[in-house]
Amino acid sequence: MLRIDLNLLFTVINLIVLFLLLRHFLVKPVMGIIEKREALIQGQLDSASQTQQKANELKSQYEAALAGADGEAEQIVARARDKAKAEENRIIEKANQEAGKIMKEAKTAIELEREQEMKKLQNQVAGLALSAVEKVLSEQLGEQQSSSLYDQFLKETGGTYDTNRA
Amino acid sequence: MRKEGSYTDSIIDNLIEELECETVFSIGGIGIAESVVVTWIIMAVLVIASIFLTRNLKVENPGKRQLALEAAVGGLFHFFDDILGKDGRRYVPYLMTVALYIGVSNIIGIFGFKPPTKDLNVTIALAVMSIVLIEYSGFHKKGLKGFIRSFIEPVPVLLPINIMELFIKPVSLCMRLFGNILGAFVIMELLKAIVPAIVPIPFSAYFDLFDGLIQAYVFVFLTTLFMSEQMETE
Repeated sequence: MLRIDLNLLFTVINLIVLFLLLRHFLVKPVMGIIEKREALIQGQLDSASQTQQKANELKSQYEAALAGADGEAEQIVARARDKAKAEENRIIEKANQEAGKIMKEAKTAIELEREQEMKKLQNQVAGLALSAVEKVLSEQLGEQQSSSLYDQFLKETGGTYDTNRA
Repeated sequence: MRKEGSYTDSIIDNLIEELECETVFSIGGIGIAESVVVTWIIMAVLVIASIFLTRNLKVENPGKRQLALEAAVGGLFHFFDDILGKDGRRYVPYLMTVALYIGVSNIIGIFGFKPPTKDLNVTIALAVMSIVLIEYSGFHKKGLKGFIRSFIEPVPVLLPINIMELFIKPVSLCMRLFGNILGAFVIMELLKAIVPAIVPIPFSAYFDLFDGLIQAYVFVFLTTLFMSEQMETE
C-alpha cells in the first residue's frame, strides 16, 4: 500500500517536464497576449489623455480669446454710448442756442415794431392836436360851443386811436 | 453469518487491491507505478488542452474561449503573483503547473483513474520540489550569506527550529495531501462497494471535486506563502 521507490524520481522528472511544457504552451502565450493587450490599452489611454490635454489647452485659448472679444465689444459699446451722449449734448446745446437767438431776434423785432408804432402814434396825436388847434383858431368858436368842440375833439382822437388799434 | 463474513472479506480484499499502488509494467526490472502512468495521461491531457486552447489568440476582439482561458490563466497567475511580488514572478509558472497538476490529479478519480496523489511517491516528490523551491527562492533573493543568516533569525535560539522546519514543511505538505486524497479514496471505494448506485454521487462531489480542489489550493497556497516568507528581507 505504501511504497517509496524510484517512481518518486520519475514523478519529479514528470513534474519538471510538465512544467516546461505548460510554461511553453499555456502560460507564455496567454500571459503574452494579456500583456500585449494591456500595452495596447495603456497606449490608447496615454494617447487619449494627451488628446484631452491638447483639447483643454485649445479650450482655454479660445476662452481667453472670447473673453478678450467680450471686453472689446463692451469697450466699443461704451465708446459709442459716450460718443452718442456727447453728440446729444452738443445738439441740445446748439438747439438751445438757436432758440435763444431766435427769441432774442424776435424780441428785438417786437421792440422795434413797438417803437415804430409809438412814433407813428405820437405823430398822429401831434397831427390831431395841430388840426384841433387849427380848427379852434380858424372857426373862432363861441363860448357855448367850446364844450361841444371839446367833445368833438375827444371823439375824433378816440376814433382815430380806436381805428389805429384795430 | 458466514456468508456476511465472506462478503465483508471480499469488500476488504477489493479495497486493499484498489489501494495497492500497482506496477503497470517494468522496464529493465524497474517497475513503473500506476501513478506515474496516470501522471503521463494527465500531462498529455493538459498539454493537448493547452495547445488546443491557445490557438488563434488575438489581442483585439478575443472570442469567448479566449476570454475564459485568459480569465482562468490570468486569475491563477495573479493569485500567485500577488503573494510573491515582483521578485517571485519567475516561480509563478511552476506553481501554476503544480496547481493544475494536483487539481486534475485529485479529481481524476471521477473518470475512474486512481488519483496519482494517492501514491506517496507523488506527494513526496511534490513536497521535495516545493521545499527545494522554497529554499532556493530565499537563496536566490538573499545570496548565500543572507540565506545562512536567515536560519538564525529572528533570534539565534531558533536555529534548531529553523532547521527542523526544513523537514517539517515538506512532510506536512506531503502528508496533508496524501492523507486527504487517500482518505477520500477509501471512503469512496467503501461507498461504491456497499451502495453502488446514486448514493455515491453527492459524496463523490464532495470528496473528489471539493476536497480535491481544496487540497490542490492548500498545497500551492502554502508553498507560495512559505516562499514569500523565505524571500522576505528585513
